Amino acid sequence: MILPACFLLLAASPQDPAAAIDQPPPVTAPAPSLQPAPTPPTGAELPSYPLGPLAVPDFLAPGHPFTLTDLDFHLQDTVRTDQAFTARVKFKDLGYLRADFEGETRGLTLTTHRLEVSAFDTNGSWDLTADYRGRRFVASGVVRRLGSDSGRLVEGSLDFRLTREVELQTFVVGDSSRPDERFLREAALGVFWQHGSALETGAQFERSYESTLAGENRHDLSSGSVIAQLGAAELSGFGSYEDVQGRFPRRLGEASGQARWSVAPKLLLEAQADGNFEAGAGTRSHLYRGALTWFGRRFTLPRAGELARRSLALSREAFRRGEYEFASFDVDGLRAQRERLGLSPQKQALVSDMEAGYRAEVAERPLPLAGVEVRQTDDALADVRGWSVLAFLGMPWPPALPWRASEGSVPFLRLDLMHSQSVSATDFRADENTARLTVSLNREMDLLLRFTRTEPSALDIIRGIGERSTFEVSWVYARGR
Amino acid sequence: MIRARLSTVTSRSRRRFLRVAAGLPLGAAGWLGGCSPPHAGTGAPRGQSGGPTPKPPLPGTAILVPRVNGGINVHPARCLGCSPTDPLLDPEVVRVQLAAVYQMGFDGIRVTTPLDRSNFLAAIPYVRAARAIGVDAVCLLSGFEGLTLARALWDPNKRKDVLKLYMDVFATPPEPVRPGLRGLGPKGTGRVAFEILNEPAGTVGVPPDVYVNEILGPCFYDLRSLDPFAGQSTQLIVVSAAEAGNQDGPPRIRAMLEAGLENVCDRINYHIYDRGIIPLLSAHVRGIVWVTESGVPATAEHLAWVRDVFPEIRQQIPDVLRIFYYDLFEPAPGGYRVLDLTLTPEGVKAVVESTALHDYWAANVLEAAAGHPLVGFDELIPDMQPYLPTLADTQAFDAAPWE
Repeated sequence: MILPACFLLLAASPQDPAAAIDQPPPVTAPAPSLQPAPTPPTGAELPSYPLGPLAVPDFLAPGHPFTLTDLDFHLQDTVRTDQAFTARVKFKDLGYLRADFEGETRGLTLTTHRLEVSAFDTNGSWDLTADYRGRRFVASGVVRRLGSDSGRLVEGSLDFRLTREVELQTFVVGDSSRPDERFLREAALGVFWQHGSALETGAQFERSYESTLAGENRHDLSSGSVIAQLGAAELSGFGSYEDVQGRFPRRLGEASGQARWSVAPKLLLEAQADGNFEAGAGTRSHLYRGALTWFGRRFTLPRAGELARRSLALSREAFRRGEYEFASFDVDGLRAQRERLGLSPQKQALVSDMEAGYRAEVAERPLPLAGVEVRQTDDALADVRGWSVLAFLGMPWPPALPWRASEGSVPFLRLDLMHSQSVSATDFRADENTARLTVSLNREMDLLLRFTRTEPSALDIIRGIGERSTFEVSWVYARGR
Repeated sequence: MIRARLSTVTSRSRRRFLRVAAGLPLGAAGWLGGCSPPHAGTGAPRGQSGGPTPKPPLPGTAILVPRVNGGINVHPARCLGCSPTDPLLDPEVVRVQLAAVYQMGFDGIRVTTPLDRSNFLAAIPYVRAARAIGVDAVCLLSGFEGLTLARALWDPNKRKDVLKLYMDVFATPPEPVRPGLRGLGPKGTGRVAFEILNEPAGTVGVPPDVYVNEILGPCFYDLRSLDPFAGQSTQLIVVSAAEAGNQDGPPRIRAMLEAGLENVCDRINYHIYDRGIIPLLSAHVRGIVWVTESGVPATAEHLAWVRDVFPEIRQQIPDVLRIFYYDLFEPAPGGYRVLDLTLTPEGVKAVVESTALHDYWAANVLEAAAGHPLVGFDELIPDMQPYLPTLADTQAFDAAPWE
């Protein structure tokens, strides 16, 4: 009983008035943010794009009665042609309706303030999903049928907000076909802690049962992750330990670390190392990665600037008002959060924070204009070694040479060239070359063209697959991004 | 292992001759001795041979060399000193090696049978002659280079034709050289086994689960349908590929097992070149395990490896019934090989390079022979001609539509 009392005291401490989470007051005016942020950029500071200026979107505008919010198209032509199409509309101020078509897959998704339901079908395999986002919990359920098998996969999860910063997570997965006479296939318990914008950490324990042709394996997986902003560097790490019991027991480990360091206002250095290990058998796979990116304007790490503070303030205020939100630090997460909150009864109280966050997001937009990335991988299980090098060059808008970009510039053109090589079998080499051109017409519209030439690997040749070319076109429209 | 092309051999170093080329009844190191019951080759280690106990021969009766030392890898060398493209097949090269196999008391050979014309045909006399004297032959369906064979074994339109070629050429039992060979194949000859690829991840880039599902499984069912002895004790034995004998191997073998390996082969196969992986290899699989490669690349360490590590393998992996030493002969000196081959004016000679190991095996044979004189290889096979590729073999190979 002592520990919950301490949590309660902390939550209700005078230094943290926004932490009173149990009874969201029916306020209509914005409450003071936890961390007072500097004045956001004004509308005049919003940049201009190739398609012209783009004002701060009206996040609360209802559909009339339907307003298009997303339109994605993707075409890929290689040995066959695949197409994917997504359209999403906002219906009045009640919610969003989304339709997906990808190959044989058809899907419909309905999103309201607290509920999201979706149905997908692929040649007789289907998924039905429902999520309810309450004040203190998020409950999700999925029923899935795979192929003509009569079994159903049933998944359920519950995330419960212990405090403003701490979430308990659970999920279970069952299979009605009862492989190895067992319905329950997976169960997990985890905890997530978002401490401001500078620290996120989580831990999870998961037990799962795997059916193989050699019998059933029981996996006990313990894992933890952390991401921290320390000065000019962002550090992240992940580690796991897995004990597998069955006919062929083993102990596996995974470790991953990544550092992103703003070595200069316009220069970002990244390093990453991932490894998978097995007790007694050493390293099973690894990935090493290094990247250097030069920006045309000052670069801000996503958890280090005004945007991070605004996002944190918005999520805390939303939580105080009964919305189940954590701070987001990426463009897509922030957009999804704004859309959810735009459907909330509390939206009028939150809109100024949303607008301020959007302005900060625009103000801190990255403008990568040149960079290089190198990767090296080794997979001992498949005995495949590989490396790749990627280089890119960008042109800002208004058009200028990369080194003539200004603080008012936005991304416009970016050309990526990548060469990768994998070696398998007895020094059998397969090269792949990719060229990608991205055209950003404004924050909401991108056009992407990609061409890839791939030499066959040893396994490809054995399977009768030869050298191939792949051409891709993508068009993305995301209103309010 | 078995990655190097070994079709021709140029090494000429001279060491102690093994007197097989001279046609003596037995090799060096004083193998002739007293009498004892013959020891039948069963694929089992010493003390685990199956079948009824034979009647003891009369004192002074010559017996076949007891097959007490397990199996050994033999490369299908074609000739000494010739070019790699030379299609010559020197029967003496085959005879000298098989004589050594027989005299050193091995119950099985493992020989690569690639899908290129010269080496495919070169493997024929090794397999036929070994089986004719009651020694089992494991045909390793693997190429020395390229992906042709792996591609053919994957391709549903080619697989059965290729396997039929192997069945027709290698699985047809030869006539035994004499009665009472006590081999476990038809009429006492040696059995034949097909090992489907070698270390597939490392040599042809096929991951473990893909190997089981897309290559081994289909091959297993096709071979069963082609085998005229299917369902009988003399049926063809299908051996799975092993994986690398170092630390990379055990996870790959485990992935194969979990993909259903035990259901699509007759023998599960390990390679062991690292003592540390013995505890990591699955000790209790649903089937018999053969270790088709194990050895150490230093002549001075050969004896300790066979004397100490082989028993350790059998003790820690109880399903292991057979271990094939790697290897009898290869061009590089001082590595794995037991013998060197050299050309002399009298013909091809085998020279013992790993003397300590050779003497150890010889002592095992002498002990099992218990004083009986031993029948020489040349008494069993005075002429290699009947085992060489025939016109029908070459026509069958040339007619197979795998390209």
